[in-house]
Amino acid sequence: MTTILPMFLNAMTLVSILMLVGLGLAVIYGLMGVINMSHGDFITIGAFSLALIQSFGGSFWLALLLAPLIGALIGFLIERSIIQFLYKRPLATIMATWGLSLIMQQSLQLIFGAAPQRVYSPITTSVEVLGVNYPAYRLVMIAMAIAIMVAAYLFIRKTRFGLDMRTVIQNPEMADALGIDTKRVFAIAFSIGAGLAAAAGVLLAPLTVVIAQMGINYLARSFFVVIVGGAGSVPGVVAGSAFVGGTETLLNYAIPATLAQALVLVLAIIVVRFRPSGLVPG
Amino acid sequence: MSAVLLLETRQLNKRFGGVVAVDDVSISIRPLEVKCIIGANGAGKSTLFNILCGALAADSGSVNFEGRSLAGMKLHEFSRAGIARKFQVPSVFESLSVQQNLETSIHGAISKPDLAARVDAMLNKVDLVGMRNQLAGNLAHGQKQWLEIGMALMSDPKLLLLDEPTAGMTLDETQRTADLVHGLARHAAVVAIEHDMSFVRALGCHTYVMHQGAIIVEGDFVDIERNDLVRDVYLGRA
Amino acid sequence: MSQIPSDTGSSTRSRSRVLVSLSLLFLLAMYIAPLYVGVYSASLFRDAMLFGLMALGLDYLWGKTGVLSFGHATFFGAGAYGAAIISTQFGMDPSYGAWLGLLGGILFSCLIAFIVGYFLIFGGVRGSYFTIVTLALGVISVHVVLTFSEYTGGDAGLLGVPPLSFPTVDGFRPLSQLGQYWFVMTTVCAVTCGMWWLCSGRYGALLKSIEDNEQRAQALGHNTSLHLLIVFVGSAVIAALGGALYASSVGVVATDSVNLILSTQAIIFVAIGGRGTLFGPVLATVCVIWLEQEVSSINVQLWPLFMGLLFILAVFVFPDGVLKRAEALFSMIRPVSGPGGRA
Repeated sequence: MTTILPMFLNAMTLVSILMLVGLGLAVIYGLMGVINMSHGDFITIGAFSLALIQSFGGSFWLALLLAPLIGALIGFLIERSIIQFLYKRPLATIMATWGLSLIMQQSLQLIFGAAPQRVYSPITTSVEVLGVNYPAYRLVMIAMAIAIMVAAYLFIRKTRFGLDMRTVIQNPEMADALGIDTKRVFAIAFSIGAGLAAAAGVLLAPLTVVIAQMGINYLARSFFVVIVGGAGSVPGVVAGSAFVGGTETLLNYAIPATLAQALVLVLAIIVVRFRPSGLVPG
Repeated sequence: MSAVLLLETRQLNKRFGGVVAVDDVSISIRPLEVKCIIGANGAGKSTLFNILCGALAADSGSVNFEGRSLAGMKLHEFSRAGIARKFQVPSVFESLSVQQNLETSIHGAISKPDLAARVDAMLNKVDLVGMRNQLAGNLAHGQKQWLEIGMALMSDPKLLLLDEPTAGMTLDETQRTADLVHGLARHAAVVAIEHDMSFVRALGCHTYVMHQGAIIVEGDFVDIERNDLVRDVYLGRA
Repeated sequence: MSQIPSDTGSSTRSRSRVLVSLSLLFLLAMYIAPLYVGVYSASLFRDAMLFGLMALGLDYLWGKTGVLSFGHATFFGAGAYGAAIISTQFGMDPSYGAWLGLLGGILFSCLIAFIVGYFLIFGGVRGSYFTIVTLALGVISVHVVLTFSEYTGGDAGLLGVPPLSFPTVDGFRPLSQLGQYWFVMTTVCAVTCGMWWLCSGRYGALLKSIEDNEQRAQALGHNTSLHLLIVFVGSAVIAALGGALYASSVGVVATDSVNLILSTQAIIFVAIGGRGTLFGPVLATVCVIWLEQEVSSINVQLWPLFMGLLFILAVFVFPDGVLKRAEALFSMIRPVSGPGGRA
């Protein structure tokens, strides 16, 4: 138990971050067939928001509240100004959002410098779980991430907007015919996805190095969350995150971290070969 | 007799949920024969067509081409076996010229002069000589249909399957398409699935009538037209 | 009526003839450039031409079949690292070690492309999915280079890659700087012309038909998955040739010949040069790299911003490349006599 439990909790840390990031990506892909290459940078925006707010004396919890709003606002502006014109051209969207990603990363670096940003964890104590000492912050983080996922699931399942969204995912033409304003659904969904990634950025920041390029590592992984899990459903994202995050953490105990990441991506390619529509087909 | 059959289906069945789309269909085509399959919308024609060309798998029954089962064959292997298809919606390569569309329709090696000669012959046959350098996307609807028939013929198929070849055509274009198909029959067998009576009348060939997934009558079109059962289930209501 | 079709045909042909003659003129200028510019500029041109091979490889894939790879630097890097490792790590005589490295680098890249391509293409992965999986491939390859640092030199890279040698009257002699320059130019010209010739006829139309409507191409009897795999492997081989020659010309290989920035730049080269024109991306590579030098000389931090901007411009302003856009503007100014003006 003393070795298995921390291993499990470490895996859960990565899985919960990937869930939050992957959900936004999956919803955007499922809804609009758009691959948002700048999605990882919303993690960065979340983390930088935390750094900025803390540098002015604000608390972690204030940042956790504000950063998703900042992320959602920037996401909304990007969707309205660029992405909405490209829905019929998937490869063009990939290129445009990649361009945006470069611009966002470099702007952050120009403004804040290349050195890692200082962020502070709100909880620095450890707690004893079943006889094992484990950082309390990680446990809180996992709990927060799960709470946000449950909230997102209920939002998609129970609200009018969630119903509209699922209708658009099922059949865009039909949704149009039913009088659903698909453009509005796209814009809001895109903003929510960006906000979720920013929330993930805040939660992740105390555990990692906060630099302008931090999003790219999570971008590639969260793509695999979506591909492996199946686009457009919450259970798919959970399954995909468990696969990518779980495998990587376990491999980390046996082989160097970079190789573990590479191996997970290779495994994911193989999964895609045999289950093209993912583990949990939408 | 059975040895010379080109295409034969035995007791084909296909259901979608509770709906029987193809019900115990057995048809046969000999080389250089022209046959039509007619029926009202929803009679199961398109499902049957999709099974014949490998896009759908039947629940039971068999499809044999030259005595060989077609089960499990990949899409590109159908054409290599000698079965060419023209889909209902025109699907030419819109960003290639008419000539390039025909050139890409031959797979495998061919010498340049041979290719040029065959493309010229086909342009004549489908009446698109003046359009050879036009992008296929700019053609009129009827011309796209002919181009697609021409593309299907470039590989010298033994059997040509046509799915509603005259859908959306004017009367004049329909008549010309019927003439075209008659001309083809000297080189290949043709199975046309049709909804439009004037085209089938112009073809005047052996015809199967489908109704609720099953073949209810077959015979020469002149006899079919006089058949009371057919009148009741199909022609009368059409 | 009969006038219109012949017009569209000839204007496409005259356009490509303009591009080809422009390119040949440009290449000729590149040939004699080292006689007039300094050593530094010449080595910049040489490197740019080798990156141009990577762009050419990507254009063969993306321009001709519409399949976008976001990790093409992987193949350039596989060629470069393959060549460097083989020629430096086994204690071979450089006179043939360099050549074995070149060959080995290309084969290595070919193998990676074959395995990845087989899994993806025969697995039915197309479109956006293909693009992001290749992006991941780019991420993986950097990880792999950093992990196996005892062979790859990790962050520091590998030094001392020998130049190619040719037989002379005094036995095998390594190429001089100038000799290398001309060897690179000749190779790039030959490969580019070769690809242009290959894709100008029925084969190019076949690839275009796969981009247009793959199912239809299958129905006509083409084994489209096999064709796509051949193109993918071919495009990797061309990029690897660039990478391997880069290793032997520069003498050093580091992670900047495999990282995501290079993959990204490859896309910019093709987008600006004009997708599917083959010559265009090679030309654009030289121009963009020159631009990069100019911009970076103001401030190194500016170039990534420029690249981001170029991506967005490529999508909105010149989706078919800069030349085509310029031509469209030109024919707007002179609607009567401009190319294609009558149609």
